Amino acid sequence: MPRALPSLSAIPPMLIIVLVGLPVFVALFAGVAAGDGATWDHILQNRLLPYTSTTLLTLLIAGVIMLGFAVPAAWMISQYEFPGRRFFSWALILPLAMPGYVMAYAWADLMGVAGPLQSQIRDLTGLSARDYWFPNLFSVPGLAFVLGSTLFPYVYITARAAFSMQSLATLEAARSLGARPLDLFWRVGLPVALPAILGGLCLALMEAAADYGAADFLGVQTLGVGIVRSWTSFGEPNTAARLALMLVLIAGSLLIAARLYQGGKGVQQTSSRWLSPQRTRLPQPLAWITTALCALILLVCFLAPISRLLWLAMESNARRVDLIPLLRATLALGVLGTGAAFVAALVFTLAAKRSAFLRMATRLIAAAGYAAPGAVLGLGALFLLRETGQPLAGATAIGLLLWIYVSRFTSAGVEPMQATLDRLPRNLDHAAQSLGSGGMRQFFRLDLPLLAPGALAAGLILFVEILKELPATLMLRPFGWDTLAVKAHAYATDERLAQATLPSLLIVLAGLLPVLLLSWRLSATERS
Amino acid sequence: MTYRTKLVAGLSLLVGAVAACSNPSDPAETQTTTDAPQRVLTLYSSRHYDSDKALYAMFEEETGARLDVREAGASQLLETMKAEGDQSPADVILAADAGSLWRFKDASLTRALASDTLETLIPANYRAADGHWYGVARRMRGIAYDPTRWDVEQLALWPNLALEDKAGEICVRSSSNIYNLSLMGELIHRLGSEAAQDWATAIVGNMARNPQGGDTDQIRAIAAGECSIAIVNHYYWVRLGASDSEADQQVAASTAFLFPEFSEGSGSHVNITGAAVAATADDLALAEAFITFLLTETGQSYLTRETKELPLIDGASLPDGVDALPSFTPSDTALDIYGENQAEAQRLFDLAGWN
Amino acid sequence: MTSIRPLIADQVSRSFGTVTAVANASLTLTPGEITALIGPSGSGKTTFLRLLAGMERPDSGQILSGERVLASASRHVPIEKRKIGLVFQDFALFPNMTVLQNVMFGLREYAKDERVHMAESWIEQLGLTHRRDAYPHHLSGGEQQRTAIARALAPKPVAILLDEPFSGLDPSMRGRVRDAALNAIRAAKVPALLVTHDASEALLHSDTIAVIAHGVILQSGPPDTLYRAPNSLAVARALGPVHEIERSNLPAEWRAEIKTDAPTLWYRPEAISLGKGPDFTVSGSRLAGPVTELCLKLPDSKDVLYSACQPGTPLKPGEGVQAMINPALFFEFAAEST
Repeated sequence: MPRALPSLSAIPPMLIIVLVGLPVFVALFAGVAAGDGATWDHILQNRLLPYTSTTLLTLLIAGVIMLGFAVPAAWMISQYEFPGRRFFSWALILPLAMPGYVMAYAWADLMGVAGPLQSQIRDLTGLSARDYWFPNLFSVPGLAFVLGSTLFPYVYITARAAFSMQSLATLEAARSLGARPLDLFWRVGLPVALPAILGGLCLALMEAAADYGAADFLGVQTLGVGIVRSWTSFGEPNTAARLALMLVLIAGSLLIAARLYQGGKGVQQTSSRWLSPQRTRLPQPLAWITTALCALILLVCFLAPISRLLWLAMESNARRVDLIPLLRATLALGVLGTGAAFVAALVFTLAAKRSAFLRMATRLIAAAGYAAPGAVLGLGALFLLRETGQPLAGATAIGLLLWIYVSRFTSAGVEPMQATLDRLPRNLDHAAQSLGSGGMRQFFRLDLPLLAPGALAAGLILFVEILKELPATLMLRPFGWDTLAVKAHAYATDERLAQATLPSLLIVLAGLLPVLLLSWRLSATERS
Repeated sequence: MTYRTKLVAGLSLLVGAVAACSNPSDPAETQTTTDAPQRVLTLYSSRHYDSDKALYAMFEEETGARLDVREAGASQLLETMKAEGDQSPADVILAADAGSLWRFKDASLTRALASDTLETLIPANYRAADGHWYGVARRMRGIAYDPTRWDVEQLALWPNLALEDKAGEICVRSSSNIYNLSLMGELIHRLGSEAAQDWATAIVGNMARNPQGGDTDQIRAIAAGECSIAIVNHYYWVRLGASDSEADQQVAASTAFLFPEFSEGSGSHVNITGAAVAATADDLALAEAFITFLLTETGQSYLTRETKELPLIDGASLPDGVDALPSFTPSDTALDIYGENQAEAQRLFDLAGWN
Repeated sequence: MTSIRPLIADQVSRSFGTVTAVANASLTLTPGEITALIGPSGSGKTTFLRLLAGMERPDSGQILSGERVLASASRHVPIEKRKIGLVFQDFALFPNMTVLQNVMFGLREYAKDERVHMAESWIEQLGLTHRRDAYPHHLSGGEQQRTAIARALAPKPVAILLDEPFSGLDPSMRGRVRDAALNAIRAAKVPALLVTHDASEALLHSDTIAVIAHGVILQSGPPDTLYRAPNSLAVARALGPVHEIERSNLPAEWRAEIKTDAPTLWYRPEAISLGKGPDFTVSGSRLAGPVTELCLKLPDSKDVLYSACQPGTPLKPGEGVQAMINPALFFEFAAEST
C-alpha cells in the first residue's frame, strides 16, 4: 500500500480547524461586517461596560468558588485517609451531570422568598419577608455560586490527578526539611499542581462565560444575557454576534494567561519511585471535619438540588408526558455529537504534538467555540444554512447541529486527552506522525491505547456536555427531535417548574452514568 | 487495506444511523398507505404547551393533513426562516406576542391572508389591518396585588405605580421579557419616549428587589410579604388559583388581580397569541383552515384550557379559574405598535436601569 | 551549632501485614562518617531508611539521635520535626523553584538575608554557583543531585540519609558527582547513611558498611573487615564475587596453608594469583578491566578454579601455569542455605 505524502499529514488538522472555527467566525464576521445596527451605539454606550464587568465579576467569584471547593477537597482526598474518602473521591464529580440552568431552578426554588427555607424562617419567627436578611440567589454572587457548584468538578478532576501524580519523594523531602502539613500544600503541592489546575479552571470558566440559561433565570446581566437580549429584544442578531466577540476575547485571554503562566514554570517531574500514594491517616477531630466539609460540598452542589427536584416531581400531579421519545432523541444526538466532537478533539490533540503553532492554533480555535454561547453558534449555523439554500430539516438540520456540537465542545474533549499526552512525553510522538503518514495500524494498535485513559474521559465529558446543551439544540433540531433539555426549557420558560423537574432529572440521570464511569475510571488509574 | 475498508464500513453505518433515525416521531411513516398525496402543514410555533399537541392531533384527524411543528423562541424561528429563505417549509407561524408577529411581518416573512370567515370571527383590534396576522387568544398584562394593602383606586392606572407611595412595593421580572417590552411599547405610544422612560425610572425606584425570576415568582413574593404589587400576565395568577397545590391556591387567594388603564377610560393593555401565514406557504387553503380551526369553539377551548389565556370569540367556553378575573375594557391601540416600539422599549428600560 | 550526635537504631522492627520488612535491626551512624547500607532489592534497606527518617513507625525498638528518642513504643517524632536530611534517587527537587529556592526551602527559621547567605554557601560548596537561578528541569542529573544534597545539608540536619543517590546518574559522571557530594557530606560532620545496591560504591566511599538481607542486619563494620572477614556467605556475596570449592579438591600444598578443616570453602577470585606453586592448565581467560579472570584446571581434575590476577602476557586456553594463594581470602561458613 503506498504511503501518503508526509505533507498531507497536516491536512486533517487544518480541515478540522476550519470545521471547528467556521461557525464561530461566520457569526463573529457577520456581527462585525454587518455595520452598526441601530442599537449598537446604545449598547456600546450604556450596556457594554456593565455586561462585561458583570461577566468578569461573575467569573472571578465563580473561579474562587470552584478553586475553594475543588482544590482543598482534591488535596485532602489525594493525601490523607479519612472516613468516606473513597466515596467522596468519585462522588464529588457528580455535580457535572447537573446543567447550570437546572441547578438555578432548583436553588432558586429552595432559596427563593417563597421557597421552603424562607417559608420556614417566617413560620418559625413570625417575621415578614422584609424583616430579615437572607442570601439572595438572584445576584452576581448567586449566579457565580450556581455556575461554580456545577462546574467545579472540572477543576477537581485536574487537581486530583495533578496531586496524585506528584512525586511522593518530593513531598517527603519537603517534610524532612521541616514543612508542616499546611506548608506542604501551599509551598509544594499547590505550586507544582497549579499549571494543571489552571488548565481545568480555564475550561470551567469558559463554560461559565458562555452560560445563558442560569444567568437569565437569575436576572443577572451578563454578556450571555446581553447577547440574547440584543437578539430577541432589539431584533439584531448581528449585534448579538458582535457582543459574543467579547466573550471569545475573554476566553482567549484566559487561555493565553494560563499558557504564559504554565510556560514560565518548571514542569512536573513524575517519579516512578514510591508513587503509590501513602496517605497519612488524619487524626481526630480533623478527619471528621474533613469528612463533614466534603459532605457539605456534595450536599450543596448535588444532593440538595437533586432532592428538591425529586420532591417537586413527586409532589406535582402534573400530567405525565411521554418522555421516551425525548430520551431517545437526547441519547441519539448525544452519541452522534460525542462521536463527531471526539474525532475532532483527537485530531487536535495529536496535531498539537506536531508543532507549537498547531498546538496554540487548535487550542485557541477550540476555545473560541467553547466560550461562544450556543445561541451565537446557532446563529452562525443559520448564516451557513442561508448559503446552502436548504430548509432546516432532516439530515441538513442534524448535520448542522452536529457541526455546532463539534464547534462548541471540541475544547472539552481536547483538555483531558492533552493532559494524558503531557504525562507520556515522548512515546506519543509517533501518534502525531502516524495520523498522516498512513500508519493506521500503528495508530490503532499503539497510540490509541496509550491515549485511552484520556480519550475515555474526553468521550464521557463530551457526552455529558452534549446532553445538557440547550440553545443550539433548540434552534437547529429537526422536526420531531425534541430533547430532554428542550422540554425542560419549554416548561421552565412557561414557569411550570414542577413539570420541568422530570425532564431535568432525566438529564441528570442520563448524565450520571457516564459521570460515574468517569469517576470510577479516574479513581482506578490513580490506584494502579 | 483492511483498515480502510473497516473505516468506510463504520462511516456508512454511522450515516445510516443518522438517516434511519432522522425523524423518530415522523407520522408519515405510519400513513404511507394513503393514496392521495399527503397534505402537509408546517407550523413554526413559539408556543410549547402539551395541550397544543392534542389540538394539532384533532386538526390532523379532521383534515387528514399532517402537521409538522417546529417549536422554538420567536427570534430563533425568525432567524431560521430568514436563513431558509425561499426553501423554508414554514406555512403558518404561531407566536405568543403581537410584537413578535410584527417582527415576522417586518422581515417580509408573512403574507396577507384575506379571509371573510376570520374577519368576521375576530374583532378588528385583534388582527392586523392588512391581514398579515390574526389573533387567536388574548393574554393580558396586569397586576396582582395584596388587597389588604391597596384599594383598587390606588392601582387603577399604570402611572399610579410610579407614585412615591409604591416605594419598595413592586415586584417585576426583567425588562427583556417580551410582555414587559410590549407594555412599554404601548406606554411609548401613548406618552412618548421621555415620559415612558420617566415612568420606567420611577418603577425601578419603587421596586422591592432587583428584577428576577418569572411572573409566578413575583406573585409568590407578594404572598411571602416581600412586595405588595406584581406586574404579571393574568394567566399566571389564574393558574396559581387553579393549581392542585394548596400552597399555590393560598397564594392566589391572598392576592387580587387588576387590569390597570393608561388613563381614565383608555382601556387596558392587551396582548395576543396570533397566527400568521408564512410567505413561503404553499397550501394557503390548509393554512387558512388551520387558523380558522383555532377559532372554532373546540380550538379556542383547547388553546386556552391549559394556558388560561382568554378566548377571542364570543361564546367560547372560558377556561377554569378565569372567572376570578375582573372585567376590563380593552385598549384600542393597534397591536403592531408593540413590535414597532420594541427596540425603543428595551433601550428605555436599559436607560432606566431596569435590568 | 548543635553538637552532633550519632543516629542510633536499636532493635528496630517493622512488618507490613505478614511480611517482615525489618527485623531487630541495630545500627549506629557515627557523625562525620558515611555508613553504607547494602543488600539486594527487597532486603529492607529502603524501609530501614524510612524508619530512620520518620516516614514509617517502627513496630518495636527505638530510634535515637544521641539521647533524644525519635521513635519508640510510646513516642513518634514526625518527619518534619526530626531534622533529618533526605536525598532520593530521583532527586525530588521542587520543580517550581530555582536551585537557590530549593536550597533555601528548609531554612525558614532564619532571617531572609541569612537564608540566602547560607544557601549560597552550600551552592558554592557543591559547585553550583553558576546554576543558582536555574530551574530543575534545566539542570543535568548531576547538578540536580548536588542541589538535592545542598538542600538536605543546608538546614544543619542531625543526620542525612541517601537512598540510592547516584544510581540514577550517567556512569560517565557518577564518579565525579559522587566524590563532590560525599566530600561535602563528610565536611558537614553529620551521621550519614548511604543506601545502595552497588558494593563497589560502598567499599570505595563508606567508613562503615552494614549488610542487610531479609530485613536482618547481618554484619556491620569497616569495609575491610566485611570484605576480608564476612560472617556469612550472604555478607561475602554482598560485597563481591565468591566461589565455592571442596577442600579435598585443592592441591595439598594449598590445603596446608589454609588452616581450617571445613569440607567446603569459599574464596574470592583474587585469592588465587599466578606465582610459584602447583601446576594448572588454563581453560579460559577473560579481560575484565583492571584484572584478568582466569579459569584454571588441575591436571587430573574436572574442577575449575577461578582467579583474578594482574594481567600480564595474554594466556591462551591449554597453556600451563603455576598459581599461588592468599589464604586470608579463603572463608568457611557455618551451615547455611546458599
